[in-house]
Amino acid sequence: MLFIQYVINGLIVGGAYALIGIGLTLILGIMNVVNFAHGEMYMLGAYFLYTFFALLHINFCLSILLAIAAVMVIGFACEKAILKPLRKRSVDTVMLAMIGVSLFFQNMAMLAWTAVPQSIKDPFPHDAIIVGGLYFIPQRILVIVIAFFFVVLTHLLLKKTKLGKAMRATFLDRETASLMGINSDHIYSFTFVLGAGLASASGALLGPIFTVHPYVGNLANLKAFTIVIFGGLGSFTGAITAGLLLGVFESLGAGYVSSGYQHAVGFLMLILILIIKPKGLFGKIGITR
Amino acid sequence: MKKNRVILLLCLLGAILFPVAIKDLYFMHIAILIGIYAISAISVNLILGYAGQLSLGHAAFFGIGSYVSALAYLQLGVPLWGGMILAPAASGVLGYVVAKLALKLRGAYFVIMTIGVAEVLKLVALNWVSVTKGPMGVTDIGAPVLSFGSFGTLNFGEKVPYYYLVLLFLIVSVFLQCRLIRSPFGRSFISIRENEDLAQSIGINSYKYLIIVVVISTAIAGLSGSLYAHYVKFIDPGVFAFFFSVNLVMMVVGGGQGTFAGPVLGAILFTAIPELLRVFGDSRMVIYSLIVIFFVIFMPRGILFYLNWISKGAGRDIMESAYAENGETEGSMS
Repeated sequence: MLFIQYVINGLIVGGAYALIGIGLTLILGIMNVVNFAHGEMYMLGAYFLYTFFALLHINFCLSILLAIAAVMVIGFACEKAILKPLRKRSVDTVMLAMIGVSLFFQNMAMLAWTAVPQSIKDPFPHDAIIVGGLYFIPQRILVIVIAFFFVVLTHLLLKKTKLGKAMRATFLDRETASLMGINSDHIYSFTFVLGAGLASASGALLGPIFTVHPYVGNLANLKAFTIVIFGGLGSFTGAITAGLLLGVFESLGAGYVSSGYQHAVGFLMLILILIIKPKGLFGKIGITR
Repeated sequence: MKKNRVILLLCLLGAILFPVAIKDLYFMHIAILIGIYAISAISVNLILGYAGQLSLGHAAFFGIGSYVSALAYLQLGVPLWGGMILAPAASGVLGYVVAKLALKLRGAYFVIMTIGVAEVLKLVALNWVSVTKGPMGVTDIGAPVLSFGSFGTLNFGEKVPYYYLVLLFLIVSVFLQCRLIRSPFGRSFISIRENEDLAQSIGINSYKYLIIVVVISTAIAGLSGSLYAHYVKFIDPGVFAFFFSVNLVMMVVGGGQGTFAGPVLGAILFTAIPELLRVFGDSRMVIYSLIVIFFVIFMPRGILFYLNWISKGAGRDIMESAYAENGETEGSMS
């Protein structure tokens, strides 16, 4: 029973991991940008939720949406200011620039919210709902529901809309896509903003579960990359599967081994996949350009 | 060629006379740190500048070196000299394992793998309290005292002797790097950076060569870690910090990747800049990050290239490789 409880807890956190993973895999796949500032979008998402909800006392669900919107605006500015001028530069240069951006946001966050870790207290009752011996905490149910909602929304966007079609075309072959009249500049901007939004959603959902501090993005970043590599670059299904698996393995690791090493689980998954199937579960192409 | 020799000798002379001219302990401290970081930066340069693989977790190898050296001293009584053998060995073995796993696929895989190693080692250092003292850190790491009988003693616990010790190892590292790059072996791994397929077509086993480069590089990082631990006498899991890895990469990129003098110049620059920015107080790191972005966007070839450019090819053969000519578009991740 305890095992099932661990798996369920893991799936809930994993749902939010899937969101950050999808965001990164889209940016990496479509824009060919190794986005080291992705974890910072997660961090900002959590901090904006803290600001809107805990400091300004706005409704919790509305705060989540506002936090996502705020980070999307930041993502847009970041894309226009840093990534757009660097379009023709090498992958390495862009990666280093994004590391600079990540340092920038970390230290801005430190100025804005200080280095003291904050915990966000959600407004829901903390009594668990017990169903068949399993415990469900209301806030966690909300996490999985919202995560599922965003995953489906992104899926529909990619598969059913014209914009999604253009994004998929750019992913397959950006030159041919531009020949077909797709404005790759718009696609890039949109992809980055979408990715930032998904990462911030993940941050806003997990913020109340973990604590928030300015350096939380480093770990989030590492996890996001683990998910992308594990699932296979550019694979939507892969990111979801890997995100859920990471959540479950972390939960099991924390439960059966030691909670101190909870965050090392992702690294073990990374080593495992590099030995067994280096291109990821659903991967067809390597990340190396 | 001759002009370069003169510049090199002048720099060397300046470095040797530095403690005589500057008595201020703070400047000596910064100078010693620069020396130690320059050795680490050289190790990053071997991988990034010459072999074209980015390691963003070099703090892992630096940190494991400093922990091994410190713990060997405290628990087994091994002095610095022994630590300087054990630390590179430990870092080298770790580097071998990482390279073996991550270099099957290049680029981002290697980057993430190295970051991951650093994060995991940080967790181990934090949680393995019985050995590493966890977040409290390891204290009382002593430096050796050499006795020359009637000629007196040399106490490496003091700043000036330690400065010369670090300088000696820095010179050895620069020399080693130079010999390595100019050897047939060095030419081989530069060719891998330039065009891996072509290199393989003339019989260079790129996987094997890259592993050897990573092992050499990580061993040097371990050595600098050992020097660091016995200098500051206190280490905590902070030695594995991601920021430190980033700063090492910035030293190499900012100084001039794939050049002999670049990492040293970068180490001076990127140790001095955060210190100079202290006047800005809390917003220091924000300004530092803007400087990083500036360097990456506007000076991607490193400051050495622009210095050369200003003096119109005066030091052309400092730029050992065709990297400067090939420049940006031939990025090292291809």
